[in-house]
Amino acid sequence: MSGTTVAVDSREESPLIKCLHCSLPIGTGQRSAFCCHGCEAVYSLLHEGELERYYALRSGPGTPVVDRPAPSRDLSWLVEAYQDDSTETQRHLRLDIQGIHCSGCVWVLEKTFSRRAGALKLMTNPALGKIELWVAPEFPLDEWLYSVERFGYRFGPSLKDSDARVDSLLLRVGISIALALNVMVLSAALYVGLEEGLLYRVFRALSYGLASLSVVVGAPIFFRSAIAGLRNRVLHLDVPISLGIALTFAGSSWAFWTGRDNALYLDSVSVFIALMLLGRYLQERVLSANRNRLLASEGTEGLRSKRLSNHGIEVIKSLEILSGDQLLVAPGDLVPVAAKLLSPQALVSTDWISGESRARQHREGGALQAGSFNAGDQAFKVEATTDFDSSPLQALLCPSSQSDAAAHETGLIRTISKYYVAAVLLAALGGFSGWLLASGSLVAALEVATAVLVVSCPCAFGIATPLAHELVQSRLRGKGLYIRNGDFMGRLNNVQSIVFDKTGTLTSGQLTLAPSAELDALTANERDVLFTLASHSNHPVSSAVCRELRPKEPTLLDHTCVTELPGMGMECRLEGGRYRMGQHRWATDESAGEGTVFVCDDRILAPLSLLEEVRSDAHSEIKALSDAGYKIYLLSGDSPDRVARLAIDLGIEADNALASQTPTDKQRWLQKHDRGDMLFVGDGINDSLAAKTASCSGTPALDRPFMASNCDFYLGTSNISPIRDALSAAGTLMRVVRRNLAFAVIYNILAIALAWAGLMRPWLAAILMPSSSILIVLATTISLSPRSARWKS
Amino acid sequence: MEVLILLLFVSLILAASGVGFFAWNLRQKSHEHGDRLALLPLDLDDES
Repeated sequence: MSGTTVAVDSREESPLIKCLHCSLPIGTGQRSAFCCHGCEAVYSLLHEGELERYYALRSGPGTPVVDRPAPSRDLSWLVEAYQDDSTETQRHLRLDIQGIHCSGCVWVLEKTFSRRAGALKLMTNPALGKIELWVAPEFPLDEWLYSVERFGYRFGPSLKDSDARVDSLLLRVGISIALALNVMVLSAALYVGLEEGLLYRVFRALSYGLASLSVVVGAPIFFRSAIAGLRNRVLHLDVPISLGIALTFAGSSWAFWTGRDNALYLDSVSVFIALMLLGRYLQERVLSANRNRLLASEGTEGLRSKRLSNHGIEVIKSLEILSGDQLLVAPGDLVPVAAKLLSPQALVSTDWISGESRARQHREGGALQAGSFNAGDQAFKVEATTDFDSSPLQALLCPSSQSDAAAHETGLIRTISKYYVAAVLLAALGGFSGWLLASGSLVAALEVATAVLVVSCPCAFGIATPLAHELVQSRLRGKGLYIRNGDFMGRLNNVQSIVFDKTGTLTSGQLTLAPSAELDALTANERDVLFTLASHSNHPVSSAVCRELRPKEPTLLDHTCVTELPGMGMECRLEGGRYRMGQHRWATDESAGEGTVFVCDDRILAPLSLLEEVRSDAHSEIKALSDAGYKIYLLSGDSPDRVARLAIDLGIEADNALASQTPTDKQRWLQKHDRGDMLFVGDGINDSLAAKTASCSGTPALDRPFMASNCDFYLGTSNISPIRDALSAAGTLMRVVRRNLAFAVIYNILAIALAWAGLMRPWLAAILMPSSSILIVLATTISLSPRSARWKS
Repeated sequence: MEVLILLLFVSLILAASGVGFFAWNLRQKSHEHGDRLALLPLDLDDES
């Protein structure tokens, strides 16, 4: 785009070029000012629509428009979006939306909405990714939805709901902090000398009442989780936290009712609960935001098909398809079951189901695989040869169960928790026994035991670990990697091998025209003719030709002369010449010859062969990952020659590049080789079984909610570089967690020593516990700040 | 001394009101569409 300037990140040592639209770094080797075609298109659209204010309102980097929805995709699911309170004069709809993340997005939505006749009210909820709109009957709903989707957003049926767990957590955090602050103020009066009288009794009773309330409000979160963990024989961090709360409160209750102020740690209990809840909320907040950013996956429930009946075409759920049903498959639509082609011919893509990058032409009577897409520009008819129940999509679209995710839980926290619980109980028992034997006083022994339990609460560790995760997850969000599972970073730290799918993962899924001298040598007039021919078809070759020629600003000639011979190519007569773009044999009227060519009167002007577009940073990232010691594998459903070619191009060892892999082949391979140290990255439905099986999994596919819902992370950028950032971050995170653990151990040894010596007092605990927490929080924040050299990948 | 108890009572009422307002605000779900609420002043700009 002429006249534009390229944004440069001056903080980095070498200038880092950023996309003009999304502001994310552009992969090395990219010559454009944009990271992808989508961003370039949306940048132009925003300027054409006088919506440049979007860039001023947006906070931080945006989202690359990697994969824009088809311009007129099926919106038949809209009928379910109308709410019951819709009337003749006012319609009320609720929809999910993918891609909104900031005030700029909300502003674009509201501006485009209010510019249309019949717009009444729009409520956008970026945190949940939902919109609610009230419109008059004349409002052009479909047109508005299509126009918004051109900016890279994507609408879907309303499936997401507010995360009640996070909302409830936030409420508990607020109440617990208010209670803790009040108990601290009241306790401070007791510490500085209030020892008798009415006010003393009121303050003491009030402290106990508020601390009890704090336990009632905050503790159930940890108790429930700890009990569930123990039932499943899993010792996670909530077990020592729960034990700390229960025993400290029990000890303080005993001190309150027996008048032993030396063992009254009510403020410590309240502060501990508030900090633990805050840590938990921080951790849940980012994960919940990452999950809500995409449309929810309906699995097979969300698939719709067009069934042909005596009454015409009816849109049905694909689940209802029976063998023998006749279906109409529009351009871009899915064939949900194995079927027989009834139309004379069809161009069908199976990249989603098999990973094969090229679309194939099928003839009448040909068998179509379930999961194929109509890649042509004509609708075709098929007859289902199986019920949907027998479709392989059933298994592939089935979401992974929670138990699968739990099985991957990192062992570090479990080990820590096990030893932590044992050590604390032993220390308390030791202190109790020692003082009972030495002094013979049960009261003194109980005071020491309570002191040990209070000071050994995993406060510092409990707040710093979630904070560290939150910081890392937020930073990775900024780089375009969105984590969905809380324990992912722990598992990622064990990764030694990375397994990539090919089509749509290492390649962008788009085909580009192979460079050729003949193509470069075309005259301006021949280029205009070729562009005119290609503009009349959405065949992958035509699309690639248009993309290649558009920067040279060709002229669209008289389109009325263009004719298409389905399955063969395009033809036009201009200035006395007959131009053809299509299959070699047809275009040249010769009996031999392969591939697609552009000819004039049987003279070949240029061959038109296609190459898969490799992601802009794939070469540099694969090399960097290999240099860092990771083993790289390529598992693809595509043909051996194309897989081998890409492996050589990217520098992947030939033995590590496996072709013609079915979804179950990929799953079996991972079952055999994954020892808890493999990361799988794939995008198609044929990768869903592998994603569920691998120790760690990720996807660059944002247009297929089912895939992201089966993975630990998804990429919101056209680059794969965030994967290396995440691997680097996982190492840094684990180092910080281990250092925090070491700090917690040293702090606890010193504090327990004070308690055993009988020197621990409530006022001292009130100083020590928050101080240690603040110290470790600061250390964690500094270690994981963007300026920290170790954090940079 | 009595005035301290009165002050204590008033401060507790204030704290309880704060918690109550916080809970009410959560129920309104304002935190979920803060971005939209932040744009409301711009609407006034556009009208003027």
